[in-house]
Amino acid sequence: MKKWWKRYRFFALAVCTIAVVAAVYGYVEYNRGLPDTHHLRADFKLEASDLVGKFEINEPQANAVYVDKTISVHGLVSGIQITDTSAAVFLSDGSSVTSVMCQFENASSREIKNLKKGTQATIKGICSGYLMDVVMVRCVLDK
Amino acid sequence: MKLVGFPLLLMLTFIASSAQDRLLTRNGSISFYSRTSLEDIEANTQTAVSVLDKKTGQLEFSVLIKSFTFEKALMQEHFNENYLESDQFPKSIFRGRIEDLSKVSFDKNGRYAVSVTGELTIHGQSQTVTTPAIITVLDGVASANAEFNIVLADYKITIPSLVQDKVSKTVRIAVNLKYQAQP
Repeated sequence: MKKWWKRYRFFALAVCTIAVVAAVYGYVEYNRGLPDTHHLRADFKLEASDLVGKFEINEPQANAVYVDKTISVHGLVSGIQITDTSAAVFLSDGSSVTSVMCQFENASSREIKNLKKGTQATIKGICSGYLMDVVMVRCVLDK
Repeated sequence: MKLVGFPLLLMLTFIASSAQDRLLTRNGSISFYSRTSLEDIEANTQTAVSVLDKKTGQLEFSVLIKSFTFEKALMQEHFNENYLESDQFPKSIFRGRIEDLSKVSFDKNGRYAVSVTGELTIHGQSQTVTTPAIITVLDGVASANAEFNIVLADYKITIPSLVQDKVSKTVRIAVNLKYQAQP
């Protein structure tokens, strides 16, 4: 046994170390939460009307370019709708019916309270696609 | 048609009804739950679009699959890439109607138990769904709530054998739509 241990101890220790590292990595990766959008760098910076235009002209192409990407959108706050659990802020150019809908997860946050209809705002979020509006989720104010 | 997509479809569907008969929400809530002894999986979105026609009882909602958020990032990735294949099937749509619309008075506060039947499309597969629902009217604001189960195999959503114990074969879906009156 002693002979075996002497000969193979480095190998055994290496295997044990790799197993522990793999287990810790697996556990951390499995429990990894969604990143805070505040800390994400914007892949694109666009005016609300430009982003809406891209989806209106060619939705499949816009999906390929913008969906799942972090986008910083600037525009006029044309509406704010607050529900029990979240808030939706609509950004547009003021003339179009279609807008960018920015969903904030915390309806009572200071960010939402500071937003006023009719003012300009820049909001960062993750683009999910296009329904009646271009939809962005997990939004935050982009300063 | 492909270029204009859902907004035009929604408009065409309801073109026959007058504007004041239509109720709309652009931030409806849809959640789903999968419960097993090993793990609970839950996700929700607050970005569903829905139109309810008060006159005909016609009800539609549409949701972007990628708008569902999970607590765990890995679950969200697997949900989109392996189960719902959301790049290929980005939207889920329900088109149906309130069967017993005569029970509902949209001008009077109350909770009205109704039955809703329609076609639910998920993962490119359509199935007929009939579910009890509650229409609530409070000070002129109407809401629709329903909970129902779907069988994943009906929508050709396959669960890898490695995680079969962790994912239930049926999923409970909760829909909560709070409408705004159209001008």
